[in-house]
Amino acid sequence: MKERESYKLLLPQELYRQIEDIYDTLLEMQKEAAGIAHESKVTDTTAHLEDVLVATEKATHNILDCATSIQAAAEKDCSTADIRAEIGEYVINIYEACNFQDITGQRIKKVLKNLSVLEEHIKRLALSAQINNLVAEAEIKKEEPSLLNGPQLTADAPSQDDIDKLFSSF
Amino acid sequence: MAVDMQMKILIVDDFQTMLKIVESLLRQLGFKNIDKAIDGVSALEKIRANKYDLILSDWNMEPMNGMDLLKAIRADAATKTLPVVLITAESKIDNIIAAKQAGVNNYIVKPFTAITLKEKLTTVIGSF
Repeated sequence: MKERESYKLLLPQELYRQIEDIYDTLLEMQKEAAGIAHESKVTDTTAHLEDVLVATEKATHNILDCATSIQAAAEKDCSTADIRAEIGEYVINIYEACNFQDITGQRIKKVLKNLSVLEEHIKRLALSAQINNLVAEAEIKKEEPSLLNGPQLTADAPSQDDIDKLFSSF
Repeated sequence: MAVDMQMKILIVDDFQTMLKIVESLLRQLGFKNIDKAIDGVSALEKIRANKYDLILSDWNMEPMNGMDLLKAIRADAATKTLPVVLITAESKIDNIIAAKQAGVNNYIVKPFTAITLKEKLTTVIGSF
């Protein structure tokens, strides 16, 4: 009996159909990737996200350079201490606001990593020839919990005050 | 004792933008002597080759992350008392506990403000 037919006996019908769909999609993606670059869905998605990373980094650098230049010009040409101080405050606000690029960059890197893991799982599922391998790869691997999770969702993230309280409680 | 604004500070982060932000804010606060590294490995090389007074490090970096950098600093007799502050988006309870157990001096969560940076540095190096 062929291995694919033996799967049908062991797996629920719906689950088997979905695995076949994923496998067929992967074959299509592989054909696309072998043809023209960046036309497969996964590589297209990762390429766009990488572009976002590069573009936001470039833009943020420009903003920071401008802020530094504004401050330097104010220090040099502005004779009024109050106005210099006010400009300095605004420049600090710009630096603080540019924190966004680090956070969005980390979130995008996390998405890219998840996409890569997903692609790897799909490939292994589709290319596996043995039912035992298929079951093993369908299992969720239990790994040691990682401390590298990246930024939490804004609604769930603790404030610096929360962090301070926890830090000083030890 | 007054803080020496010429103290040598090393900022470690794999995002160039964050290195720029932290450096700019430190300069705004009056610090002059600032060095940078883009990951834990190059940071450790610099720390072993130079005498720094303070390390501000991200956590999530490759190939060596900030936690492993901290542990390496604490494991070396020459650097075990070197003040280290983590500036990171990692904010789960397990992260705080692990960092504290590893000997971090303070912990700043991203995104952060200039005031927070100053407050946390003050607790580590004194008022400035």
